[in-house]
Amino acid sequence: MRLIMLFTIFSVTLFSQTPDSLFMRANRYFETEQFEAAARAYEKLSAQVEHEDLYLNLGNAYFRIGNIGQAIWAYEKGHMLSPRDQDINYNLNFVRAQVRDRIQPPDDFIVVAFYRAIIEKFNIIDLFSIGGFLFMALGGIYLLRNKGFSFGKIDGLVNSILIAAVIATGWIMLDKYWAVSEEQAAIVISSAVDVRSAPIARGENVVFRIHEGTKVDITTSQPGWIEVILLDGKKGWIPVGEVRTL
Amino acid sequence: MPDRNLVNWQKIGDSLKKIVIRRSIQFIWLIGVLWSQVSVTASVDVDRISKNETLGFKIVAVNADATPNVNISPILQHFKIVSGPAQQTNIQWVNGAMTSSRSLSWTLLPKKDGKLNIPSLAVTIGKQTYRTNPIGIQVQKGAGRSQMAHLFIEAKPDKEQAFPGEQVTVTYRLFTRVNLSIENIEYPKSVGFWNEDLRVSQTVRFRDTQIQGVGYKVATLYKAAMFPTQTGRLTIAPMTVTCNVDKPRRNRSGGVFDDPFFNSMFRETQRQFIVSDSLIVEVASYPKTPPADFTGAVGQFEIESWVDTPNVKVNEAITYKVRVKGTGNPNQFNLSEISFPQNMEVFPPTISFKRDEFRDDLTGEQQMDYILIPRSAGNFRLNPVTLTYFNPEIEDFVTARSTPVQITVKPGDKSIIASTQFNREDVTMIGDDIRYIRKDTPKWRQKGQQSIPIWVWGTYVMAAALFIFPGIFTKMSDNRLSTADIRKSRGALKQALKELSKPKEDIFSHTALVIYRYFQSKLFLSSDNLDPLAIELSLKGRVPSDLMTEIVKVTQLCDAGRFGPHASESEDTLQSQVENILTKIDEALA
Repeated sequence: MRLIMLFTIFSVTLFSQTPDSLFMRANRYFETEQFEAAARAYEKLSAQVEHEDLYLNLGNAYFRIGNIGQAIWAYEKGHMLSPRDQDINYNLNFVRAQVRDRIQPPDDFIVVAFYRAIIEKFNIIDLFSIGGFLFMALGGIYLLRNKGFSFGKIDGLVNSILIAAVIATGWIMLDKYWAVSEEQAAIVISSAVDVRSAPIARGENVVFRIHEGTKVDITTSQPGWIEVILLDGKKGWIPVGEVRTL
Repeated sequence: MPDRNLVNWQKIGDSLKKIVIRRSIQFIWLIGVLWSQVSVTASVDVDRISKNETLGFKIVAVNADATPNVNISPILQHFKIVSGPAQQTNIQWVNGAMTSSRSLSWTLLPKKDGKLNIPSLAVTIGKQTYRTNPIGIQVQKGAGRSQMAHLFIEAKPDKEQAFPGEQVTVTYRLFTRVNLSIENIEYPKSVGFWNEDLRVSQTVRFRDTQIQGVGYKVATLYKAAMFPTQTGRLTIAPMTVTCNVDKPRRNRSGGVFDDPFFNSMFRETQRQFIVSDSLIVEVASYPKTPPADFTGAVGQFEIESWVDTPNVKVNEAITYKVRVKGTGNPNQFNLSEISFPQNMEVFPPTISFKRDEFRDDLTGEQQMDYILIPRSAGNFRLNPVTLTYFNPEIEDFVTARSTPVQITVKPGDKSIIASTQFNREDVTMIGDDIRYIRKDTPKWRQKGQQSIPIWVWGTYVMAAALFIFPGIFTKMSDNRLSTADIRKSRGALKQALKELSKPKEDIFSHTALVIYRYFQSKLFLSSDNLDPLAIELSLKGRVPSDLMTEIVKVTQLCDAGRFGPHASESEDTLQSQVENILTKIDEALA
């Protein structure tokens, strides 16, 4: 009895999977084209730790199985962690092209589009860092002025730009923070979902239909149901199991 | 009355005369009309001829006021028009009556023997159409042959059976026992053959020969290579020769002029038409099914190919020559497609054909010169050129093939001609796929704990420091300055008493200096130019008035002592007095 216990403890210690070993094993599954096993291993790992590389690999494994919704979910996760990762963005765009629903987002005014691009391209840490640097620059200038230094004619302009930049960064950071903390997005993982006008599964209340891989924003939720809104503004209720939240 | 009767008779006679004249004219006109009726007749000069003889055919239209127009085509079925039509117009007066006739005449040659018929022909004169009478002609063969045995054309093929494309050489020879001169030769044109003239006589040369002991003169008129283009019984058309034959003369024996010299001077010739026999050639199809690459070459051929130089540099031209040599039908087939290496530029060939004139079998060589320009270095092989032909002698298909040619191309010194082979082009996406997984183990983060790095916080702390520190620094330096003054202020009395106790030569000025320094330190006064009035102003309200009066007095005394000797009597008490006052003031100010 004691022997068995000892063995168990020993083996648990020996074969307990560190994130590194699990990651390497999943990669081996992927290389030997056991994509389902690789996806399972990556999923197991993603329950413990997170990294953009992990989501890239998970997305690739799902894509190889043909599970577009889950692949997009994984790439979106990776994109959130590292918005400027080229491989993740490439794969995300590649797989998005295979999504059946083509949702045309409303055309934004160029400034709005630029603002959106900034929010899209930077995560909150990036914005926080940028804010820090700008703030530091402003502090440096303050110190120099205190010591009698001046930019001359453009002194006022430099100051205004810096102050505006600090304020803008702060605003964007706040906006991003709200977006991250309050808005909840999800990816459709079942092949087709009927979106209903109310959280009741009745035949006549189907408003429209969305397909695997489509990204939706969750506005409210009820037990078993969530209300989703599409990029173009279409809104409706779907069962909670049809999507995977980001 | 009698006069009257006479007149009447004269009148009657006149009118009778008129009637007679008028009637006579009418009668003559009537006769003329009857005589001038149009008639059309056809006639021949002879109705019994041999096959190689001609006959004259004449159509006469009497009293025609226009040239007759004759449709001659019906007679072309059996006759050939040698000459004509010749037009003639005759006007005759017979017994005061005029007869006019217009005639058309032809010379005809019968196309075959037997009973031939010149059919009724339609003759149009003006707007009227008349028909001629038909005429029968007897064309004798046997009689003609025996008659004409002294003059004939022999057409002789070298073979009577052939395959399509195989050469059949037909020789036309003229045999004659009489003197003649050739006026015209009509060469045969046969259907179903491709014809190549081997020899066409410009001047006819006769030589002597004998047929069954009979002496003849013989000349080769024409030789043709006939290549059948279809199978079956094909007819080689006859050849027609027009010649002028010396007529046998009546023997004028004993005459003065019966002499060859004179005979030659008084020659009489007759125009003769000689037609050769039609020939039949049996063209059989090939004994075997032709191979796929057979393009119609029949005969015997050789093929060879070579290059002018086998070692060249890139972009230098090579001439590649292909020569087909042989006997047969050299213009009627194609060579197999020549496949050149890919990085060689090939220009269309120049083709030359040379025929051997002195042989009956059509012999010659065809040469094709290709210009090749290699665009890259390497060893190249030009594959053999093949030609599949039918050899009628062995009755089988044979493939002739040239030897392959090796070319060595060395890299050129310089690219003389800009290469058009390799253009830069965009990277083309052939397939599309996701990017591969990453295998390096990353630095794991605990889930949901994406923390802000310490250096980011550092930037904020630094920025805050930059804002805050300048203020603190200023404050600190201010503070330090003020404490020094206070300290100085507190120690002012002590310092003053210490200074006072020091023995000095000029006691008044020293005491004044000590007093002023004390107040300067004690009251934080900046100005060095102190006087009793300034001290009084500074101390006003801060010390009792008696004490103030006292100190003002003492300061005034010191000032007076500094500048005047009369105050020397109070020197001894001044030090204790000043010490006393300053101590009191210090107590009052504290």
